[in-house]
Amino acid sequence: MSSSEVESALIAFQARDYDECLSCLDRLSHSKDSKVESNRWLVEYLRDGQVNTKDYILQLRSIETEPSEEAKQINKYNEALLLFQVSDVSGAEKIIQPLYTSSTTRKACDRWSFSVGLLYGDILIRSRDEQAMQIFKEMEDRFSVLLGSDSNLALNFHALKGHAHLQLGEYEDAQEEYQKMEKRSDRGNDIRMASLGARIETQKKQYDLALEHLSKCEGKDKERGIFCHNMGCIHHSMGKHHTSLWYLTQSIQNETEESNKGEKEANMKENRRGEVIVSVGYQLLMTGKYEKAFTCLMEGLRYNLRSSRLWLRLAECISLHHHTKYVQSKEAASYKRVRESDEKVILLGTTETSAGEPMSLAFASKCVCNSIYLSDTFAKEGRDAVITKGVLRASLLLSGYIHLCSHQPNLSLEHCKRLLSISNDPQERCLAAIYAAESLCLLNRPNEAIQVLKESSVEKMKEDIRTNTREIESQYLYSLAMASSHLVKRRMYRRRYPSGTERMPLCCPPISVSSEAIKRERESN
Amino acid sequence: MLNPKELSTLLSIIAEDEKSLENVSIQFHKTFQKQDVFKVECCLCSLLSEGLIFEITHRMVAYYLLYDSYRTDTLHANPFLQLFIQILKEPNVSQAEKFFVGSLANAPSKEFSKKSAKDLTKIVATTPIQTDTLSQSYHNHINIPPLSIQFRGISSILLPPDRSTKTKVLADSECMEELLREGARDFVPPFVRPAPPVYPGFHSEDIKWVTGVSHSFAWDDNMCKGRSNLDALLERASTTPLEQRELQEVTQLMSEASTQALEVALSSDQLVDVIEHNTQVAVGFILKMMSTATIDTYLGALERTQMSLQSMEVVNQLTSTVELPSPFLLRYINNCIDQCQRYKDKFTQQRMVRLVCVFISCLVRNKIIQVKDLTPPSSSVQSFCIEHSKIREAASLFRLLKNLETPNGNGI
Repeated sequence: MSSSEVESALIAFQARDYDECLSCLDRLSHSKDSKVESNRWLVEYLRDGQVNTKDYILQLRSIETEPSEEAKQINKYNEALLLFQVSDVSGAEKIIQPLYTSSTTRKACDRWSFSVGLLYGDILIRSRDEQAMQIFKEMEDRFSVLLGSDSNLALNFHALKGHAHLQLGEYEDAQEEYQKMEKRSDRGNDIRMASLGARIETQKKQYDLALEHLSKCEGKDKERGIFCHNMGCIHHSMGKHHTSLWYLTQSIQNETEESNKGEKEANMKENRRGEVIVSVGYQLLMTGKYEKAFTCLMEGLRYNLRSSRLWLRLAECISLHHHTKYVQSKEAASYKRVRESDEKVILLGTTETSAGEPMSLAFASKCVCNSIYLSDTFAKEGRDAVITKGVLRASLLLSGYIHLCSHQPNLSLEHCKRLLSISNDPQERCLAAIYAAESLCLLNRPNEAIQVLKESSVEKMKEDIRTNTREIESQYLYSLAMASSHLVKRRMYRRRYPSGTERMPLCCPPISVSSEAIKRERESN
Repeated sequence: MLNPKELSTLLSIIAEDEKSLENVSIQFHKTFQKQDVFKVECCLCSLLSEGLIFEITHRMVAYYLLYDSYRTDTLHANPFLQLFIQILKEPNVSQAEKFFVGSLANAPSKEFSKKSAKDLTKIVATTPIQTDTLSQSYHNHINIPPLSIQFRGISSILLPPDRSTKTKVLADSECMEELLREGARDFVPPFVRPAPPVYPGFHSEDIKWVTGVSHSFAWDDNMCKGRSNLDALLERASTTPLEQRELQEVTQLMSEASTQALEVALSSDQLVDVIEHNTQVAVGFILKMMSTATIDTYLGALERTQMSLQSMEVVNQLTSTVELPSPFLLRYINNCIDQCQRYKDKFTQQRMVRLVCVFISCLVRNKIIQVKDLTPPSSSVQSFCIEHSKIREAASLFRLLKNLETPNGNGI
């Protein structure tokens, strides 16, 4: 009978025996029930190791005629979970939010509604939305019975709620959630509990305690990926970027090994790889390995094109790489002697990479412009206001530098002026003023250059506790002198030589002149 | 700053002195990318200030290009403004050239841009020019002291220390290439340009904690649930009469279900049971299956079913709704007649005979079945009626058949 087939399919699904489950679903296919088809797609996706995510999303979206509202909701939930896994947080949020709203009318012991709420809360945490806490409070009231009866659900709930508290800086509340988890957990080395405890201590800068928390889960193979990743987070907060890098690469290697062993449900799914790659790229950037950082960040772009921070990091890689090469080339300036003569010729080495290279200033210009565009877009949408402003300011400052290096003083000036109008940070203002002044001098407007430098007062900067204050101050004063020198009102140089003289470009053989030029000079005189 | 190929391209553009200035400007902006335009313009400025562009028309095109890029801004915003002022003050520059440069200060009209450099040279040659006025007009626009001089560093072009040293003559192009090569321009103290620091951001921005919480995909528990209800109701219908609510539900479910599902849900044997307990359900089922290939199976079962009021009611309702095949009806009637003969109990037999006769009469009167099909030897109805002639319904049926058989009757 078909009802027993339905039960068999469910039992096989819960036991993760996907082949058997598919066999049961095959026998039910005559019923032409679209729900059988939906379940079949799900089982095939899980059986194949959750790699064909895009295909599965397209299948879910292709169902248009679903008579049952419940079935629609289940498909929508699965779609939201998929988008969440591929880091399309905004897409996932758009789908899950109406589901959550409609689920509030259902019974309080409904596990389906609880799952929807938990996923919604996790999505809001990931998008740093403060509404996450409100969702968790509502759920705590609605599902008190369910939370009391099911320990696993309770641990999931308190873990996420604790992380939500930490995002709001509420350490005490996060600690309370941790203690609730301790009471409900039957083992002391639950990875969820350990991760929350470690994060609490990390944010309080108690790194030893953080490491102690996490080390409880060190030996467990299946959770090693999470363990390594979170160890990377701790060391990143400690400023130990090399160690952090080591742990993050270990987490990627572990996840790859688990997949190779056939562990279809490795804890760190393939789609989280994108986030880890970006974290690795950031550590490489902080440790000065710009080219490798660039490669990792470009890989991370595949998973998230709409990250303004990611574009900013790419531009930083290129600009620091360029700056390093420029400094090295100045130190190793080549001296070329052109023919035997009384003059020596000094040739300055060029540091400009060609536009065709991946790490070129032209590409850096595109990256930083993308970052500015996305930051403006997110600001209009009201997303992550504090972080968006910070990224925008950093992008404008970097743009000022990059466009100066690539001989685009107009664009550099425009962005520096914009930054000066929105930033109160002394170091940012000082650097922006330096770039703006150079741009204005290149554009033959030294008056304005001096004005810009004077307006971005260096006095405020002295209050800053950062150690490079003195260096910035000296650079600022140098720029001021440079701009002023452009206005020296004395005749230092004649454009045209007096009659009878000859001119020669310095870098030519020293006794060569242009015949036409001589002729013109003589004719004019 | 410019390689020889780029220099050659630039020189070929400014040599277009027969094209309109507007078109030359368009060509210039198409040739060089936006991010390189300022660099090229600086090189053009160097060539002009070092007197390395020798044709006046070429120089006019060059001045126009330097002006045109900043025409939408104020004159003061043009970074090459000082070059224009210098040209106006330079005693060795021709009047025509000064007039051209001066005209640029007064926001020339569109007609000006549509002319070529050669055309403008001819116009200028016939127009009296006052260079002091032109120079003043520049200063009026920008309001700077007339004697301001730009300090641009030490030129890369120096006087040779010893004039008696023999000089090797260079071609103009080589001279230009050397001048515009990177690092070979004016020697100015370089600006210190510190690289901005890496954006520190917040702790959790670039590197996110993993919470360890995993979400499971949802399995649709309602799979086949509707069908199961139908199965259950049909199963129940085959054993017991359904309630009104159940009747409505099963009718609704059957209308939504596919014929394949119904075929699976109710076999022909089960249909016989449903007929006995729920005639409405049986009628609805058979009507739903009428268009399928398996209807013959279900009708065959109906034929062989135990003769009863319910089965006859089903057939009667079916005949009033759809056109049942005549052979089926004949076989069904013959089956009923055979079953009547087998009853041993007289009372029951009589009752059954009456039912059959009324049923056949109904079919005949409604013209569902043809009289000729009921005459021997195709049918044993008449002999059946004769055999049970003592029963009133049988006698009525016989008379009916006979009346309809005669030429006066409606022998259908």
